[in-house]
Amino acid sequence: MLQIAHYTKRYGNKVAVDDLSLEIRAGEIFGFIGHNGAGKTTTIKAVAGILPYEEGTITVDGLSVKDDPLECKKRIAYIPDNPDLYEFLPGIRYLNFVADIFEVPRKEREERIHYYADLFELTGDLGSSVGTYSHGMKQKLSLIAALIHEPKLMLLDEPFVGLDPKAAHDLKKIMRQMCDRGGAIFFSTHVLEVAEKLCDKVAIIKAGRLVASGTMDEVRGDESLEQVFLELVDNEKD
Amino acid sequence: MKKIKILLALQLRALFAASRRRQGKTRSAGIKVLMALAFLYVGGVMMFLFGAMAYGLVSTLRGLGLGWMALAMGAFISAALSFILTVFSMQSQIFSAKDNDMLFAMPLTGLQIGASRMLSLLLLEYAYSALVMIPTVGVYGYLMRPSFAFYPLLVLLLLLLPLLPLSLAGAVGYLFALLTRKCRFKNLIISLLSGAAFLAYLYACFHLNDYMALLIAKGADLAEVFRRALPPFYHFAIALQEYSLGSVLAVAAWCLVPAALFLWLLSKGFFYLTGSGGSKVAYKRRPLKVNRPWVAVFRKEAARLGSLPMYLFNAAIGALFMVALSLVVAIRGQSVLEALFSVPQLAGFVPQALQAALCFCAAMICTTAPSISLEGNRLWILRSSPLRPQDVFLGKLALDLALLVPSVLISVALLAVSVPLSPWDLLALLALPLALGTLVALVGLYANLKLPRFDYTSDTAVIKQSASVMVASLGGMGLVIALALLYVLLGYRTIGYFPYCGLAFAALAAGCWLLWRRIQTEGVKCWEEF
Repeated sequence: MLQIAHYTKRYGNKVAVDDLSLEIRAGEIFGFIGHNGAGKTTTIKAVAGILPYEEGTITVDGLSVKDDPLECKKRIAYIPDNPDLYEFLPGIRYLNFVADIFEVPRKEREERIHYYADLFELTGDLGSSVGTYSHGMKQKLSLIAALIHEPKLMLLDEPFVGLDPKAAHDLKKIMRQMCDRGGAIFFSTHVLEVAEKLCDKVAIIKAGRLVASGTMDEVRGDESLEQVFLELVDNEKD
Repeated sequence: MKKIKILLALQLRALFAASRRRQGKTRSAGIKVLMALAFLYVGGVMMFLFGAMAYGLVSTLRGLGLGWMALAMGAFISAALSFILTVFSMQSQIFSAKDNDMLFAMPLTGLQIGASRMLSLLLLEYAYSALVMIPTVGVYGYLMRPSFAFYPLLVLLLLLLPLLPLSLAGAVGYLFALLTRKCRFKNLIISLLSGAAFLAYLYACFHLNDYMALLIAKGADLAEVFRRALPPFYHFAIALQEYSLGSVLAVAAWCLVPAALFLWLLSKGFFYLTGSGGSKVAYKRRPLKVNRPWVAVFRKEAARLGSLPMYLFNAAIGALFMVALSLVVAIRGQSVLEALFSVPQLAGFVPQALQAALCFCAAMICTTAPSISLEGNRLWILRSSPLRPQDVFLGKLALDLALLVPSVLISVALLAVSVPLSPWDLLALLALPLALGTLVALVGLYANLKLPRFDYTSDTAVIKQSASVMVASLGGMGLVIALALLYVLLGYRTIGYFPYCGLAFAALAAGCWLLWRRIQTEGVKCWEEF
């Protein structure tokens, strides 16, 4: 579903991501772990087609993000770590706007919006402007917006930040359901316990370079993910 | 005080910071020089106008022994200008600033945050005041030859004077924030009030000559009116003319007491006023409307325009002027126009004058110039969507046309029923403003793609103070002036009005086509690099 090959991103002389290669297959939940500034968001943004890059290739469902960005974006849903939304629009109008952009037919958009709004207990607030929403409500709204067009690949940057326990639980359930239907999820997180329980595969990135990647069992071995992560970080420091 | 200084420095940095694109790219030196020249040009024109007015006043009033009234008038106009320009930005700069939550989370008091914001506005007021008072005092000094003591006293009084309009604007803003705290139609109310206030200000400006004639004719009576009704400005002038300590103290009291009262009010209620956001609306399920992607962008842009009173006011004031002008012509200008048409030498110029007025208004309509910058932190929504950049641009352009086209159609329809114009005249009145307005919209869009600003804490920074807005406004005005000059110098004597309109339309249409093509190539490249 997603292939990243030799992806390198530079900001001037600084190398933010260095020769990163990953593969995420359909049906997989892939966790992307790293300290602050490691290059997680830079990678996710490049996959989402909002950050130009010069070296390497990124393909989604066999299509190049660089050469065929619109077709790739139709298959993707992206939620940034801090979803700034159009605060002047009521929630329902924001969702309808996203559905218009993704050209979702009326029946499907209505069904999905109401299904997910009910699931995340946001239906009653859809008439209010996004500006009146709490951080968690905005997070839920951006999740519903991401799910409206039934993406094949979801890119989530720290998706659990700001969600209440029930919403976090529902999100995990939705992530699993989506992958069971043949989709894939690539998400970054600092919450290692969540990654450990949820992910099929995991990659650890340190200062822009991949330091570990594989199935959860391969990466973790007999230790906890937290121990592995800290050891890898310490080794890098040494 | 130290914290206020830190906050003030932050405010000023945000105000004057060179606009940055994402990825840390800064403006070239050439652009900065061009921007500085544009600001100097606008400032120079305004100073020239105020200087000419002051010259007329001082040279006439000094003969009546009322030279001081020119100073009082200058102080009054300066205060009125400062009030008008500040009161519109009070909501976005003070009560709805985007960094309020962040600052309130720090160990800062409402007074410290509010005072730092008021101080940054005060510095702006000094700039507005300078536009009026430098030429006024220059003319006064040249014609009246005051003694040396006049100047240090003047500096002291000019430092005090802007505190009065600032406090009044702050009080109005405070009252408004208080009354509309939970109001759903707050933005609409602000927009309507802003439009009404600006029309009233323009009405006063258009009648300035009448007021000056009245001032000259009834100088002595009006001096008494000034003393009774506008004491701060009366004492301002008397303090300078008679070096009266009593008048200096009166000016100080009139300026410092309201400022102190306002700061006290701010210290009590600032946190309360900024602490809540909007009202909740119960959601009722209704069938959703399906739109094409560019139409969805257009509807989103329209919602943004309606939600930002300052944006609506800045971008749509030309449409308001155009329709108001046509209404005035239709209702009150009939007799004047009939008189003009009856004079053969003047009859031929009426359509040209109307054309110039409509083109001037059309050039003022521009929603596109800040529209890219206003995406700000929400840019990811459009960038990560399967939207062609052209569809984004089309949606933004459509909003501009949604203001331009109806206002031109309504205006021309009003003129058609009230002024004896030929079908060719009406066609020209339709075609040129539409083509010119479209070109200005494209210039605004292109300028904003090249000169975006995403790092702002107040919408004012992009709506009123950004480079792209300046380029679009000056470019629009420049186009109108160029078209008028070309007609007066060449078109009128050689090819005549209608062929000139045809040529001008062709040139504007070609400009639109070329710029749209450039937006589709270079503009798309800029968009993809944000």
